[in-house]
Amino acid sequence: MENVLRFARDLTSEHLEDVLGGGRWPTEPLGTPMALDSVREAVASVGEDITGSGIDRRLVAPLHEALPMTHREAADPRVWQWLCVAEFPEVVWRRWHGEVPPPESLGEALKAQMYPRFLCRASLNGISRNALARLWWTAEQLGDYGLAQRALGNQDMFQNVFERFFGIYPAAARACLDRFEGRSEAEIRLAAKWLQQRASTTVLEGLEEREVAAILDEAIGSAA
Amino acid sequence: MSRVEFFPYPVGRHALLLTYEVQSDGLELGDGRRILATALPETGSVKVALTVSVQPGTLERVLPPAELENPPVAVVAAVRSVTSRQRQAVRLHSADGVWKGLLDIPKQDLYREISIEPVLLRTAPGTDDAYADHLAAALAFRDRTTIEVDETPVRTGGFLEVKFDDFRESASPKRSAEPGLLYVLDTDRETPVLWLNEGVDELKAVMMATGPRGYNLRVRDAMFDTIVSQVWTSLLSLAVTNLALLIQEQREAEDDSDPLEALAADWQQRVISFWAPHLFAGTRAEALDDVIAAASDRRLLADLLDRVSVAVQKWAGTAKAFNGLIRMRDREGV
Repeated sequence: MENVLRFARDLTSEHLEDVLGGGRWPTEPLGTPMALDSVREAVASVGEDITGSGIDRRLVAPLHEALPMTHREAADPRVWQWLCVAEFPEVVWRRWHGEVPPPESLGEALKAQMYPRFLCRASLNGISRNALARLWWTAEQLGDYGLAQRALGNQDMFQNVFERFFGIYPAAARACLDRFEGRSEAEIRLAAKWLQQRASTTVLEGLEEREVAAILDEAIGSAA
Repeated sequence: MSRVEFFPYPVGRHALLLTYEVQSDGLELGDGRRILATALPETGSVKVALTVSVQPGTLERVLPPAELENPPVAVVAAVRSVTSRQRQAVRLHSADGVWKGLLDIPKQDLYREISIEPVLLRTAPGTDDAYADHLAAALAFRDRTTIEVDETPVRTGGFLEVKFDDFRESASPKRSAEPGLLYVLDTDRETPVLWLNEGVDELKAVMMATGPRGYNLRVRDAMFDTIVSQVWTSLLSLAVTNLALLIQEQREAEDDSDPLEALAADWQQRVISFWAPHLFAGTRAEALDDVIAAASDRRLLADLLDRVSVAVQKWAGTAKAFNGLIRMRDREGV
């Protein structure tokens, strides 16, 4: 049985094209054995007719279920680099490039904005821009696949929550998703900025979801 | 600008005293405010007993007189980590004039490092706008203690290619315009290239010389001494300047990400990671924090660039400098 692996060292941007083209990069096993077939089934469940953020919404639950990782394992960028580059580059290309490029035009298709989709870093942006890490962590932190699908369905909302430090506090992320539903891009940005500012003088971790939501209501109310 | 200057109300900076006692095998106290958990077994837990005392006079400073009789405050340890994707508060309990609690987190929830910051906060909203009046407002705090779970990795890989070119006949206008130069450093690429001028008599033979003794070797070492200072200074200054610009961009975008991780060029990450302990005292992780702090503040940036110059001069001309260049050339990383 094949198991999920990780790269033995960080894959760098200098070597990405080579490894995507079939070049070798050393790998090592994870502490928790996980069947690769389960992840293959999850990825295969995304029909060819599904495009854009629809791929995220379709994939988030089966991918999360197929990868019962510890947080320590999932925070390690090398797992996501291996999954995105060595095992499932097609789904990354489909989601973020629209199609899988033929091998002879790989270099041309691999623009700067594609690098973070394949690579991963142990940072807010690094996780939120990796094609698969963002799905797993959104599901894990929210603990609710429906909510995760909603978050992943609106890229602007997703960035305003999960590319900010408050977004890794689950109560804050959930409060944002609740209050941002149906709001305009401008309102979401304003409220996220407000919460960010408030967080600099507040121990956010001392607040419950409804108390964070009240802070967001102040921002949304003041803009109305 | 220090953190305390951001607060629009009175706060007690350094008004808390945090002491801790490690309670797991495999945890050690490091230099400064640092706990090392790198030797902790994978199945173990980071257990640290925390005791926080509040400096006398703090409550009088941060609360209105009407609230002093029954202060609406508590002390928590804010546990935060971008790399572990953790934010939680450990509530401490007041006993015998101090606040006590236990931090207990399985290592399987942690990656790289987490910080602990003791904070005195409001447990109820207030009504006096001369003081902090919002729920969970931070009233007093203390510098963070870091728990290092994994050693900060040295960023391996090459960050310089060394190539020969006869500048007199070079296809590069930049190099052919300066046929008399010994070398040109080209940083306008994904990986910088140190171009050595093959048109200078004997340079290639000298630079390629190997073995432990001989005239060419002494000339080669002297030549490297000349070149390494300039090369290192250029690479490091460029990396630091890019870091400072990136931090500024992130600040404007309210992006909390680790700026070092976000640097676009991998070689710049590696150069800064390698040089940080030569620029500041402490572990590599502490030194990296200091580099980022200095690059974040215009007033400290000049001092950082001064440190670059001093560190490179101290280091260049030594065997390490030479070996470093060779390792750079050979893409072994440093």
